[in-house]
Amino acid sequence: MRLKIRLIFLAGTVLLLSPGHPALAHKVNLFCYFEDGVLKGEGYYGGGRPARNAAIEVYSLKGDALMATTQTDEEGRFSAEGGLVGPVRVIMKAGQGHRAEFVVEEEGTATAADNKALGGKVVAESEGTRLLEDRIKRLEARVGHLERRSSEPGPMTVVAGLGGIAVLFALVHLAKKKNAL
Amino acid sequence: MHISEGVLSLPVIATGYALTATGVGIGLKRLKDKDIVKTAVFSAAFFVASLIHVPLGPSSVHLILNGLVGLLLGPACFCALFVALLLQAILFQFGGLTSLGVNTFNMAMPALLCYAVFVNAMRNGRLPLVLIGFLSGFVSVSGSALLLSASLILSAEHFGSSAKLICVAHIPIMVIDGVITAVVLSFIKKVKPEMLCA
Repeated sequence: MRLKIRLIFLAGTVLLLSPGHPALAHKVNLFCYFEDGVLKGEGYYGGGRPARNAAIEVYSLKGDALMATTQTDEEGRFSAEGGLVGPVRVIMKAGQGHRAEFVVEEEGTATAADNKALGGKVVAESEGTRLLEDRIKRLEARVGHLERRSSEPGPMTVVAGLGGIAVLFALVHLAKKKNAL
Repeated sequence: MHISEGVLSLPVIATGYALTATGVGIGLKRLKDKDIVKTAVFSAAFFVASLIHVPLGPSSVHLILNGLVGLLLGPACFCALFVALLLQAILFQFGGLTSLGVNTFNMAMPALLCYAVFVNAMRNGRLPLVLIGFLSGFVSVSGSALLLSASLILSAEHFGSSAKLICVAHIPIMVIDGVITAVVLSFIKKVKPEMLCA
């Protein structure tokens, strides 16, 4: 009997830990970034539906001081101007108990910094290509991030959940049987 | 309907866990061995129902079916809903572990209320089964929306305006849940009527 319980417990643990990447759906998601010195971002629910008119609060990472407040538009996007510098913690309150948080480490875009460094000089072709490549890399990273965050729970995750339910109630059955003996 | 991490205040979280622990304890005590499979099946149904989204307005609305779970499980609905919400929090990040107690209570208490009100009428056949199903779905979602609003208001006053909108936002899902609960009960009556009398 003990072996049986151990096997079921082990199977349950494996099932619970089986998804390689957590599925993120239904919960509200937030993604933020600095672009040309302006903090921008977007909030969305699982499946990519925008979180409209959600309250946005920007806090400094050190000291947790409230630096700015705004709200998302009809497409779930927002931008907070006013000389914000990173790192900042952005909190989105989408109502009905939905809340998301995102920390932006970056102080400003590399493009803005590069442009400042180059000043009025004519940008050489190789430098222009490098800047373009850097920008594409950042955009690729952002698209990848958004894709991961908006993905619905996969079938394996759902199966893992159903397996978890079966295992937990099997444990209830075994516990009741043991108590009855 | 799932309250995220970091939204509720500590007293509300603690109260939620205390109430849910009581509910789960009573549910486990009253859960008969022969009903464990049924409880697990309805827990799985609730677990999956939350993945069925109904795109309405800016909010995230999905099927709930807590009325169906409450009507057919009675006090054991606390166990079924707790397990389903726990796995949803771990696997899907719906809600969160700190808000699990409040989320479970918000879902299970109206479900238990539906059981208390409608179970005799269901077993005696005094009311049409379709009407009982619709009312259970409607009332349980309304109750959950009210408890959700109360949880948010008790946590912070500025949630008040948001909380007032919750009931209005959930009216469509109250109707949809009511219709689906009625259809499922009618189906169970045809294929396994003894489940309604157990």
